[in-house]
Amino acid sequence: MYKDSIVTLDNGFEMYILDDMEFASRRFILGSPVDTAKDEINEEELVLKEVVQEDGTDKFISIDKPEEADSFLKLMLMKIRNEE
Amino acid sequence: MSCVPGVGVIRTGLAAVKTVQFTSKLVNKGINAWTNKHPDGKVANVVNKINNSKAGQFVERTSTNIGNAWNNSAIGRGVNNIKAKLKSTPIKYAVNGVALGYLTGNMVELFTGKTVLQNIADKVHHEPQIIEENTQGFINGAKQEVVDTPTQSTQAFSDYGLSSTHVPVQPTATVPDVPTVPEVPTSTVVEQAIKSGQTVDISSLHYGGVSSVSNPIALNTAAGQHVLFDQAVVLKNGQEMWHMAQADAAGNLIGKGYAWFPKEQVIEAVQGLSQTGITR
Repeated sequence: MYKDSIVTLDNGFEMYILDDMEFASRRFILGSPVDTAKDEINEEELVLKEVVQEDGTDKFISIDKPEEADSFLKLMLMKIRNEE
Repeated sequence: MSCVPGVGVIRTGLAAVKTVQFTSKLVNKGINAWTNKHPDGKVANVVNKINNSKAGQFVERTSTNIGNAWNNSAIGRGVNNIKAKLKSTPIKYAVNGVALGYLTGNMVELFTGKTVLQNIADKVHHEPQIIEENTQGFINGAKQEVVDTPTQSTQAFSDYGLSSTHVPVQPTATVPDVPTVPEVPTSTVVEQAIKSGQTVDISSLHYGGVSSVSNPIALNTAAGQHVLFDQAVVLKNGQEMWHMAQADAAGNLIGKGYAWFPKEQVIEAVQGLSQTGITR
């Protein structure tokens, strides 16, 4: 579970994970870019990624189908709204 | 509550909320969402670090359990701001144009390619095509043309005063033993609670789950208003699922989509609403 964690990717990109969710055997995260060194966060951006495992390691990949991304963003936002 | 939402036609409902195209921006609402075409570059990024090291400064916090260190950090304040923004009215209207059940149903279809009936079957038996169906609406005012599932058999809803002939879709060789559904005067209850052509408010049905979602999620919100129950399916274990259709502002039935609920949940909810005098 990545929810409420800060994740650093191998390219140095950092993001705060607002929520994660499994759906139909797929896993997704929604986060916002952060810079922990500067204690900064981009409040205007949400990043949606699918989490896949490869060689035992989690990878964040883009969602290629806009319709999926659109629907899942809404689902994730509604989940957050109902949880918080 | 357990529920398997409808799929397919809900896309008409989703059209109403297409203002939130993911690939477009929510800039006017203060949010820009993206999943690709971003300076992070790589299609796949290895997660090489989960930063839990900052003295619990950034992790394991909720909006109701926020430490001073969290509040004193720019990231912490920013996260709080983002969560507040996501709960704001503009985002609510943009995202929550349809009940979550509808959206979830759409997602089920997108990800699984299954029909609603298949999902119902999977939920109960983990094998499809073992349900009997009723497709005849039991509310006279319901528009039957909205029910257009090719695999459905036409069957009246006799328990509710209409003619009835059960037509099983497929014989079932293995029917799991399930607790017997108590005999309740459902026809009386429904007749008293739901009038012909009447729309009801089932917003009291707050929570539900979808079989393909590991964690149950809220299904119905206050958006669950002005709905018609226009068909039912009977699972082989005796569980009856009722189908709700929700009209949009233009009066188009299921303009906002549809979802499925266990009969007992609907009766309970509608009875309560009727008793409190707010049934529409």
